[in-house]
Amino acid sequence: MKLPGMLLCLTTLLACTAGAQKVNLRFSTWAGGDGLALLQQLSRDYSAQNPEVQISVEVTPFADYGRKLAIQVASGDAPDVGWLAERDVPTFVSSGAVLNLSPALGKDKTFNLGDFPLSTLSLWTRGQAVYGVPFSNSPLVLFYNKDLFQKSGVKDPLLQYSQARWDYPSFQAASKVIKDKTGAFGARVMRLDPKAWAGGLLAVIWSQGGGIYDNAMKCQLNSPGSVSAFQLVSTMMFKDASMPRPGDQTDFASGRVGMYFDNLSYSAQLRDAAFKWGVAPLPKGTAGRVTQLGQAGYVVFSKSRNQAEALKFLKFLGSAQTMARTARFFPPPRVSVLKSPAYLGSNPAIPASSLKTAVAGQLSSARVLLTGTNWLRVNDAITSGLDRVFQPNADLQPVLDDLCKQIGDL
Amino acid sequence: MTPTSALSRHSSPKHGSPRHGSPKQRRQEAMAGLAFILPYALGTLVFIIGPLVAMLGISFTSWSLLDTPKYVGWANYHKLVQDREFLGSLGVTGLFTLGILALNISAALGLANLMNLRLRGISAFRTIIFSPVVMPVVAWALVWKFLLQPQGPVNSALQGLGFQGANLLFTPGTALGTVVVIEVIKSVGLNAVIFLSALQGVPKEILEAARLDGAGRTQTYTRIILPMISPTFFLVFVITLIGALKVFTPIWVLTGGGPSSATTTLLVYMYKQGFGFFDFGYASVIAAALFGLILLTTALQWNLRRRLVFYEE
Amino acid sequence: MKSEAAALLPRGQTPARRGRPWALLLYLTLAVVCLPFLLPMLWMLASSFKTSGAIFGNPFSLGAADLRLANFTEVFTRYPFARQYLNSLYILLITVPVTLLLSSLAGYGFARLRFPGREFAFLLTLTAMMVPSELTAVPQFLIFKTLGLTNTHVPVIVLQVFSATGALAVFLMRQHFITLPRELDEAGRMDGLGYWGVFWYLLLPLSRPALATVAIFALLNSWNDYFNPLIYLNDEALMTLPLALQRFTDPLGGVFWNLTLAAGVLVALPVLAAFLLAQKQFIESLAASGTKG
Repeated sequence: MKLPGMLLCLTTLLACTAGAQKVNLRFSTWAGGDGLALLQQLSRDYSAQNPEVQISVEVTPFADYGRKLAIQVASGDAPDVGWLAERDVPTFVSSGAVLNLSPALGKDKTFNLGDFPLSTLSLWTRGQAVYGVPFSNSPLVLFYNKDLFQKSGVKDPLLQYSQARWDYPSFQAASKVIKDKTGAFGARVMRLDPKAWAGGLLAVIWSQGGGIYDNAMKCQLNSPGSVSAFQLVSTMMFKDASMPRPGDQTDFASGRVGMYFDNLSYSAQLRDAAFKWGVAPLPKGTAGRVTQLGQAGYVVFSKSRNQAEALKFLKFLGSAQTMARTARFFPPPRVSVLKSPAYLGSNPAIPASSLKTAVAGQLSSARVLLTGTNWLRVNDAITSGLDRVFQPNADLQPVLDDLCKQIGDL
Repeated sequence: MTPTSALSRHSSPKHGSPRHGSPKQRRQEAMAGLAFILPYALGTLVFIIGPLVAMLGISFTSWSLLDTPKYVGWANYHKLVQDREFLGSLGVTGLFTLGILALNISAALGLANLMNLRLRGISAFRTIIFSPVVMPVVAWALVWKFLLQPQGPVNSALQGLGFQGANLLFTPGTALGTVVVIEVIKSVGLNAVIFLSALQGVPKEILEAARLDGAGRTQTYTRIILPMISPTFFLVFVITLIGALKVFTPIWVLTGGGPSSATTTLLVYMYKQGFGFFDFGYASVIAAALFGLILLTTALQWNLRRRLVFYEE
Repeated sequence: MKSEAAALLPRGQTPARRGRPWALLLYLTLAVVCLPFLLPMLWMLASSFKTSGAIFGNPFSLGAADLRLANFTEVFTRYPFARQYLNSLYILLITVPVTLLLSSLAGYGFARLRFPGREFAFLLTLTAMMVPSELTAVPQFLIFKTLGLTNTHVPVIVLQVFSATGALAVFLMRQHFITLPRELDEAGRMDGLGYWGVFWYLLLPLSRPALATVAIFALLNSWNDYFNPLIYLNDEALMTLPLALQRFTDPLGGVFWNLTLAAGVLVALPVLAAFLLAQKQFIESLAASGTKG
């Protein structure tokens, strides 16, 4: 009888002292350099306002972020609050690893979830539940090398855009002229890492009316729209030779690529570029000018032992004030921040007018890649399928039919 | 210290003390032996063997790491035997391991002979051969990705030599061999240095004696030097085999297992299932298969050793 | 052919002096052989001075304009690289001696003393040489989490000691002790030394070459360990060098290759310099060591 009593005393004692003590929140991120410094500053600011909360910022390299989080969650050592990458959202949400935020955020007038356009939340929403708050809502933009454009006498993409002539045929033509006149690659749509094929290529596919899935989540990679997009890229790679092939390591920052699709954050790589560059909207395709939104968001982990405090901290991070501060690095999903002059003037390397045209102006037609829970497998199948698609003499239709059959089998 | 005298000294296959001494002495010896191995054995038991057994337990569950594990019986094992990709990765692992063993050991021996030349500046040569060993993997992978781009220096050179459409890293037929070569260049320096030291450790007197007996150089090399360094072969074989089975990051960074799974070894496949697709239960079954394979190779190794090593103790 | 074969003979045995053409041919051969080994290092060195874009421009060129030290200063001023360097150094200074001690103890036990289950225990150690760390990560993490030791250097050090390299060390030490004459033990026993005395005062002093070998393997393993530090260390100031090399990124994770490669040079060169300076002792120690058997 004595022992349980003592235990009870002990636990109450612990609970009491814990209540009086500081709460330590763990905040997990893959941010580097200036971005990390900003998050650490935000955490200190939060602690200054809430002296009972101490925040430790935990970092993991981006490439290994998902697996480290998984091991932490599996061992009951999950952080409280964290960043979550787009590719990991379906898995983490469907396995219940992240907390439904809508009870806490939905009714909060100061937080004002309505400030986020519905399209920015679709990746994070299941029915009425919201599992994360995006902090970065970055449409793909076109980076272009002004020196190469000038040398080859091609009209500036921003000018062509303002004349409503900036479409994929002009894009292909510009690319070929740059290649022929300067020897540099005219355009690159895919990133260096073959696993990140979706960033870039998907915008081309969508703009031609294709896609990975249709609304019924049926594979659409072999639809006429998709095939014509693959055909365009394939022609540029192998016939025009104006686009680097998969595996080629020629980066836009080297100055030997005329145009490049990437998120705005890529501008950090251009800080000591030896050439002039600009930012423009992507070209328009037969099905419109559809750009892809890249997202990353804040979540609260279900296994957090300080959920109430974690939610409060997330509200701070996602608030309009904080987002105005992070907007320097991450295009803000909040409309109020996005439209503020402070944001548009925040990147010294990019004029406000370009930012307005290329980012704010494209959001209405931008799309997030919505995927099922088996996305990680599908992505793997597509990645290896693309090895067969991008071959010099590939017969695209049968290859893509076969790829869709594979995806259907998953 | 000729091989024969060395052999005759301890010809018994067991390495314990001669069977004498009272039961008490033997008990003392046993206690002492246990005490000596205890710190390491205990650590291995807790940190390696225990987790291995736990991994076997996980193989009977369906677990994404993010949710609660569910017991599924032998389902993962049934899936494994029908998994063509798994069988493929088994083949890739075999080819990869054999390729690494053959290329690494023969290149290491060849390089060791070059390193053994008595030339001015040979220490610079040794350092250069060794330098990839200390190069960080991220930098290593980056430079090779650059060299092996579709239209990069290596492929262009090959195309110039008449190999049309050469694209070593992105063609299923050549990707695995290319990865093997890159991995061997990275790690052969250590093996070469080990062989070099073995070559330098061959006693002069024996070579002198062989020469007086009229042995030619080739004969001296194959009949005397190679047998003398055969224990080093065994050591290098073990180190290289372990290394080959554990190669993950270089493959992952260079090819990600592609093109068309041509470089997906068992370890890469396990990683993809476990941390790529978050199917940790299935990854554990693959791990169990890998573990079985490891046990098998360990046993084979011991057998091989008895056959290959002429000169021991 | 002649000079090459002659070179197979150990020092002081080469009978005739080589002619000039032969030497030239040899040097040429060596130079060609060197290329694939030398180029990556040269490339990393050249790139470490350049801007990010210039690395992918013309990789093997190095103009005067490229000679800038900005990458090296930035690595230290904007990232906690100095701190991370010290972390790696001090972990190395713990891991290597502990590995030496534990592996020589176990090696001696396995080589010299009879006890029940010896063969089995040794087989388990051999098995541990080949277990990839990805395989055992989750259960291991649970152990250290229960002990409250995550986000410290303890698991990193412990798992390095009991890593595949640790098991290899045990194997090497066992093979080495087998080669030492048993008469030594018997003489020691006659003089009244116990098992420990024989090990510590007689056999270990004769084991320097083998210990050097083990030290080299343990050093390389500790210096290059990526997976366990990744899993256990959350705090940037606690990270070790291989992890630090993944942290030179823009806010959203895009890699700054110029900084990464400058840091890579700082990681690789000290080890390489040590090899250049110590290679004579290194090779001789290996030559005399328990690599026989």
